[in-house]
Amino acid sequence: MTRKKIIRPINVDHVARIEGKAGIDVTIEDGKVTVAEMNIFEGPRYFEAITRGKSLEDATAVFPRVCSFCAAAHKITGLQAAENAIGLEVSDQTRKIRELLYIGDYIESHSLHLFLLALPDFLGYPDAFSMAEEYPKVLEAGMRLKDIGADIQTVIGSRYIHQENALLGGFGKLPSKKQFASLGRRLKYLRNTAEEALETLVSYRPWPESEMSRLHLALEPYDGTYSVMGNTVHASDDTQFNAAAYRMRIDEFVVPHSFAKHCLYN
Amino acid sequence: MMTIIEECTGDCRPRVGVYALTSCYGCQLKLATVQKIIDISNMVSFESFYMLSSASKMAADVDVAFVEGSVSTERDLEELMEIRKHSRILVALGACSVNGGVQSWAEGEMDHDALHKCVYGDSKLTMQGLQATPISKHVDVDYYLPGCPPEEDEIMYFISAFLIGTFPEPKDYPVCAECRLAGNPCILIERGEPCLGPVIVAGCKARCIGFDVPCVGCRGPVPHETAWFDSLAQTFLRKGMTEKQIRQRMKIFGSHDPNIERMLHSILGGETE
Ligand code: SF4
Ligand code: SF4
Ligand code: SF4
Repeated sequence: MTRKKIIRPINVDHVARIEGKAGIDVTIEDGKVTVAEMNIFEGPRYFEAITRGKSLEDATAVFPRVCSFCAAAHKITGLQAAENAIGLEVSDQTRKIRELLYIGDYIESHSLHLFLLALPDFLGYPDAFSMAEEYPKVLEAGMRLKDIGADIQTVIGSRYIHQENALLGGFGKLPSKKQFASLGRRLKYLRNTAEEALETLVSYRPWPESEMSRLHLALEPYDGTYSVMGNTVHASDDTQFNAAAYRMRIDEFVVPHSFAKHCLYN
Repeated sequence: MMTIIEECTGDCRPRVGVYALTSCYGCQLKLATVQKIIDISNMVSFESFYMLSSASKMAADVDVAFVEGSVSTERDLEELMEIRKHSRILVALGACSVNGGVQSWAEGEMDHDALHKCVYGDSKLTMQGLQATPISKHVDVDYYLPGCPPEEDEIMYFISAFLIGTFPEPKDYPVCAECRLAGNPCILIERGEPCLGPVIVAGCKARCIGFDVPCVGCRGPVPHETAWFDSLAQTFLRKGMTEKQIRQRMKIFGSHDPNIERMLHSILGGETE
């Protein structure tokens, strides 16, 4: 007698609390996962196509619209690509202020993801609103971190979503010394809050260790500090490559169930 | 007739849905990060807000739906129809929803097949993408909240208007009006910068010009067909911009404007390619 195969599908048709629209399909046959697909049904916006033949000024104004959480990253990367293409060198000052803008984005985006989007899962709530009464302190700390990240971008970039004050070659107008100093004071003052909030967050830690093999890529900071800009990419398998040669190392391909492409390394 | 929510007394909280079609999530993020968001969450009941809450559904029965994003897939279209059916008031939130967004930049230049081929090659997907369109092409829209992303004070104005049982009135004057009030020098007239302020709806207090950056038009054309693309195109020509530059810049956020082609044609002639 043949035993009947037990097939269990798990479908999540709309993953909540992420930036974008995605579903997950998993099929389990006889206790083994046979299908695991992340279905990105967020529609395509064809940035690679619509910016063709357009002026660099206009195209670089459009790129941050790829994503609101990391708009500054798309803005700065687009500017750097355009500047590389036409051989425009920016001053050290411009590079440093851009880096600061980027760090503002980094702080804002990570605080939002950790405290607003992920934390409710750790604590068993559908969203941050319903969590606010029971856990006001950690949420408030997260939001203060988000605020400083957003304010850095507003002061430098004109606003924290889709900064227009970052241009080819530099900026329209630079913040005053006083504005920089005040951001600096706030950052110092927030250091304890940040550390405490992070410790609280990690202490909840309800997730299981993953034993899956995985690969991480990271940029080597150009100046040896904890920066988010650089030209050399390191992989967790100990290989490295020059960012400009990414097409030789990273192979993009289309999968039928997702508008987002997949990539293979090496 | 304007659609309004009757003022509610006692415990009633207006039910609100915040939805995304194809977008960058920036309008929702802006809404979610206004300073008074916790107060708002106490005064309304968010029935659906996927970006923030797993207690969401497509579509929930709501008094007011804020819809971000353009219709760029068949699924977007189905979802939009569902949202409309389940919402008493529907607000188009942000440039993608109101104007078709930057994803409409190649409108009239590349059709959907060409766009798809450029990005995905000959690969077939199981889902169907569409040429990006503003949501008003498909459903009745009650109110338009422009911006890429919208301004905090305008988001507060819309929500407050609904809460007190009245309706928000759209702005109908250009960025230049706010720019003059702010006392900026005119960087278009004085320096020939490609500033779109004259045809773009106000509300940002001419933010970019305050940073000495020309307006890129993120709030979209002035409504009521009073965006004079033709006269601005003429000024741009006099300032030395090429026809191609003028057309392309005005179309970043304006490609679906009903008058843009006709007006540009009258000054620049046929579509340049
Ligand atoms: S209008 Fe702008 S901010 Fe809003 S979703 Fe579209 S691209 Fe993002
Ligand atoms: S700088 Fe731009 S927005 Fe300001 S008045 Fe001149 S054209 Fe109008
Ligand atoms: S000045 Fe123009 S580009 Fe800048 S925020 Fe206002 S409408 Fe948007």
